Amino acid sequence: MTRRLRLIIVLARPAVVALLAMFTATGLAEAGHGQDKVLLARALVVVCAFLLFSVAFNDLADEAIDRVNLPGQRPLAAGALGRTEFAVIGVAAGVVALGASATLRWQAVVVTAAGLAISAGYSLRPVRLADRGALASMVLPACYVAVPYLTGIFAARGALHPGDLFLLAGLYLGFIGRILLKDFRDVRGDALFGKRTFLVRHGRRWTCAFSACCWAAGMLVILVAVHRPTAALAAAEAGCLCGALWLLRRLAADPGARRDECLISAIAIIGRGVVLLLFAHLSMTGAGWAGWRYNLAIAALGVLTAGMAASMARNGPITRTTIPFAPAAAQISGPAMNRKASAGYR
Amino acid sequence: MLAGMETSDRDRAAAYGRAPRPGSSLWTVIGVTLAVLMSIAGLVVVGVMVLLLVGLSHYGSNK
Repeated sequence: MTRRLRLIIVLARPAVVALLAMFTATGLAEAGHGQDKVLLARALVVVCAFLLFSVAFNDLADEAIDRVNLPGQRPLAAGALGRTEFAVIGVAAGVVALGASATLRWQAVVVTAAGLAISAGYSLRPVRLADRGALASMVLPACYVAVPYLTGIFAARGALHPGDLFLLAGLYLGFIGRILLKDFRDVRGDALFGKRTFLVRHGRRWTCAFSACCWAAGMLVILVAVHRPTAALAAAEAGCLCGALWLLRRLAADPGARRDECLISAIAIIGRGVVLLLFAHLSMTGAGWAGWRYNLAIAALGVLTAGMAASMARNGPITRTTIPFAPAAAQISGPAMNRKASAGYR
Repeated sequence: MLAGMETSDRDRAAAYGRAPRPGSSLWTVIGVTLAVLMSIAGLVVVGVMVLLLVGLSHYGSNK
């Protein structure tokens, strides 16, 4: 039982849960309830169940590809759970997501149902949007950004304002710029199985160029759309954008697989920092913070983000020292095992 | 057999470079301090999100 619970937690991918929690909190803050812990917890039940549904069906659809791209890293591809169990987990998570959203508002039910439908269409045939290059890169962020952000807003109020949608557009564009980079890790298996991602179709330089355009456009829209923008916020967000563009330039130069991992992880840290800065701004202005206290907090968050990204770009990520879902009977000698262990990048 | 097995320090050093361990990084200390200060100032959820950002910053992630 404990092992199965652990598998479900790993299946939900804690890093992605944290990211979606940030989007949910930003939606709540946009609606003026950024510090309402009860509402946030209720919205997070919906979002986590939605995520579990999405990854369960994505892993079911990508089982063969994951065996190539992520050996020993995905419970289904490694045989730690069966296909039937995955389907049951996925369906149960979908039911929980819909049920929990019904305790919020009917608008949240609509958002959740649409998100579940898009997520299923992304992974499953005959729709299978994941194979459709740029379209996949536009649809996936809709699930990862719009569902948690709108759930956060509808947890607090029943109406959407134009500013809410502009802010969503900015977050969405910025996330497209980041999600395009996830295909660098998977390019071998994607090419092998005919998964026509943007990277497979257009190559490294165009992928980085398109990502840079999305980053710039997203940042511009966020700064235009945000309530009560300040010079400190604009400076911090502009600094993040400059850092991301510089890292993308280095990534375009094809520095090697290991450096790819470092640079993409650093860009992801900056992306999460952008969302955190926005959430902190909305929360602080909502709480009446102004003057030196506000400026100091924004500056500290900006410096923290830059420092962590620089550390990641220089040193790279720490990785697990064990293979989470390696088959118990596997007889793999040293070098092969090390290759597997080095695939700890998620 | 393989599940739970650790790679040697030498293999890890060769494969993973010089990444700092969680808790040892200066940025972790700064981030946790900032999160505590934000929580004391009343923005508890912001503090939790700062902790999430710091906690994830040591691990490879493309999102």
